[in-house]
Amino acid sequence: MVHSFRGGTHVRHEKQRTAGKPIEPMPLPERLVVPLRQHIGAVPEPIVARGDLVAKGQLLARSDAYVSATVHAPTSGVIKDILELPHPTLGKGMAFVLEPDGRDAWVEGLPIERDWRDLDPDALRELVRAGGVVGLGGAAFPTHVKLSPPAGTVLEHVVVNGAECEPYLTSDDAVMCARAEDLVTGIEILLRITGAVHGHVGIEANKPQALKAVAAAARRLPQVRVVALPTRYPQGAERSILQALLGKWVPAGQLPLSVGAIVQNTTTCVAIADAVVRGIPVIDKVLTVSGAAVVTPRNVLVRIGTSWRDVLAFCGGPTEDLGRLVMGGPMMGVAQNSFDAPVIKASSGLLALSKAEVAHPPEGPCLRCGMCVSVCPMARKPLDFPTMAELHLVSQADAAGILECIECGTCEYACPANRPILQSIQVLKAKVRAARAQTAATR
Amino acid sequence: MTSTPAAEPTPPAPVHDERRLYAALLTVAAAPHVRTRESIARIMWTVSATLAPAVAWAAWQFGLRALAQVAVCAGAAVACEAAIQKFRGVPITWRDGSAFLTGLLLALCIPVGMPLWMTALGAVFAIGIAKQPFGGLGHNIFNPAHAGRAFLLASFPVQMTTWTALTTQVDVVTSATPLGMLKEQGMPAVVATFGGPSGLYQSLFLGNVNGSLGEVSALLLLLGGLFLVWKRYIFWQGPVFYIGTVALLAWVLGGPGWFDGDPLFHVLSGGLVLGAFFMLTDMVTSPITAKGQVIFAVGAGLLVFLIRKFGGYPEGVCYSILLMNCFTPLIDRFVSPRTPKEAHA
Repeated sequence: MVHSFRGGTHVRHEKQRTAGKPIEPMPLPERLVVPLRQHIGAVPEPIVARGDLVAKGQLLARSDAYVSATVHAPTSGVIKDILELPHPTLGKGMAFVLEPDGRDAWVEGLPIERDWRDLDPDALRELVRAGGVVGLGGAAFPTHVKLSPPAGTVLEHVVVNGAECEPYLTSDDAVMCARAEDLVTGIEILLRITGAVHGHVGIEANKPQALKAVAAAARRLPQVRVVALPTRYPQGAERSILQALLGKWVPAGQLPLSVGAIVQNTTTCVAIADAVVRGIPVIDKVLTVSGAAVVTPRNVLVRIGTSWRDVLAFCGGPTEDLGRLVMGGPMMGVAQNSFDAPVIKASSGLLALSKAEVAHPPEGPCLRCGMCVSVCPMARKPLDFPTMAELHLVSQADAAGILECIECGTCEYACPANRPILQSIQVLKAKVRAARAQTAATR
Repeated sequence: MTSTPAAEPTPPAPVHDERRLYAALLTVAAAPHVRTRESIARIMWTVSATLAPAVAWAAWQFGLRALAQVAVCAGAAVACEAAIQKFRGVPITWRDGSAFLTGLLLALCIPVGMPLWMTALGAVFAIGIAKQPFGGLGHNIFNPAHAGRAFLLASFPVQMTTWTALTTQVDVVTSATPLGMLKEQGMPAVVATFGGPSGLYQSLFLGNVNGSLGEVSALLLLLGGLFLVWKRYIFWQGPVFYIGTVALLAWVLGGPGWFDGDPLFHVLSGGLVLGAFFMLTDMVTSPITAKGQVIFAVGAGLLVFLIRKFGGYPEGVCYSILLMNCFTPLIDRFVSPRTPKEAHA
């Protein structure tokens, strides 16, 4: 099978700053800010109050809603406050302020060594839910929901996304190298929960060590294959990796379930193993701290709730040349407006990009070169969208299938005229959704 | 500033003045945060640079007069663009290289002996009529260089078809172009002039034949064109299907009977290679999809052959591309890329 997908382009990978570097655990900071909302879905309710002493791994917030995720204490200490504070993706959000006591003491009974093979799929899924596991690649969709397909759905494939196609980031790479055994255990658990018969791990070919480590660990599971994928952005997009690994395309508006597959990030698989086998919830994260404007780029293991300020300080601090601070990769990451925003479950990197790296030369006229069309993994015509946004052509944008855009940013990256394509798409999408809602309401 | 006492110079900022660093306001912007190093200017100047070997060859074959043509044509195009942009009150963008490239391409489409004022007028038409009134770069419908050439051919037909003999070919008696000879005297005469078929092909390929500046060396143009394909500045489908269509039709219908035409002659002569790689593929005036490029190129190839075989002109590259330019918006409207599922639906 040819491991390829539609569109995409080579982006400057810039992974050399941290590739191959070990994961360095960061000492506990003086204060942690743990947001209640770190996922897609209902905001959980706090079950601890100001002044409470909490232990590492203790449940802090939960929700009765199924589409939600629990939040746990990243270390032992005292809850100083629960209030609205800077949030990396929402601007502001309610958060626990936790002052570590320095003992880093586990809640009683953790970690354990559980013989999970005796458990049935429902019990396993409940353990994933209890661990607060969400899609750690960035989407942060609650994993237990993804593992609860509608009745009658036949799941055949578990696809594990180790592409890490975003430039700069090497955190998945580092996790795959360091925790290949747990990754494979996570896949095993996923296969058990879903009843799928095939496991596929797709890793871009520019990560030979991860490929080797995961392939070696996966040897004990004959139904799991490890595949080297071509290095091309956005290889890790859900539809793209499914197309590359299974040769199947997920139709517009549908989920991977429609082709009998679920897709999980490699780090999520490791978190599933942690939650199920050891009872350890998601309380820390491996981050790639990189960019030309950080003194010592490295892969760090940090507790959820650590501020960007503390993360940067551990890496020698930003330089004078700091142009933009970005959570995640440079293609889809979120620019940060505060050094006080904390690490959340979905964080996979912190980039201190220099002014030169984020330089945006003046916009030129569209040359109709077709580059954006060639690279679009969703086969749209991105060049039309800036004009449609300017002229408020909302219904035309809807007809052009704008809602199928996955906002990977490849079109804007590739545009030689520096057109604000993705921004136009985001503006238009909001208008299209509003127009659709209005039409539905008037009917 | 001289009044400031020099006694207390401010110490140089430490590498990590943390308070100051963290006090700086962070700039936010929408993703993506990085972008390609390509730019309009880089593309335009690179295309111009890939034409340099062909220009140098033309200068070797035709003398310095060839360089004068290029300089006047490109200069007039750039000056005209700047003047109109100043008049329109919009930023003057000659630095993006697009007007220069138009001038350069136009110069390569005309005979070396053209009076220089006519050349300049052609460049002014290309920019001042075919490009700027439509809104400038990115908005023009017709390939500006070819529009300029069509204007010159309509206005000065004699000068546009008067071919000066090559300076390097002392023994070449005729100064007609191979396609002109084909039109007037037939294929046997062309072959006889070059001392047999292999001599003919070799002359055409290497560039020892008469014609416009850009018609002489198929080899150098081909190398430049392949570079553009490798850089992904142009779709490979355009040149391949354009040249392929002309070759196929020339082979099937080009000779006295069926299937005994001379495809190689048709491909190598005239402005086909220049047109295929540098004019047909103009980003602004050709379709945005690979499939659209195929339709566009096949249509243009068909027109080239029709004009060469049945038309009044010996050469049809210019008109074939201008006519197909009209269809580009239509092609782009109806040819859309499809995801695998849409394709099956």
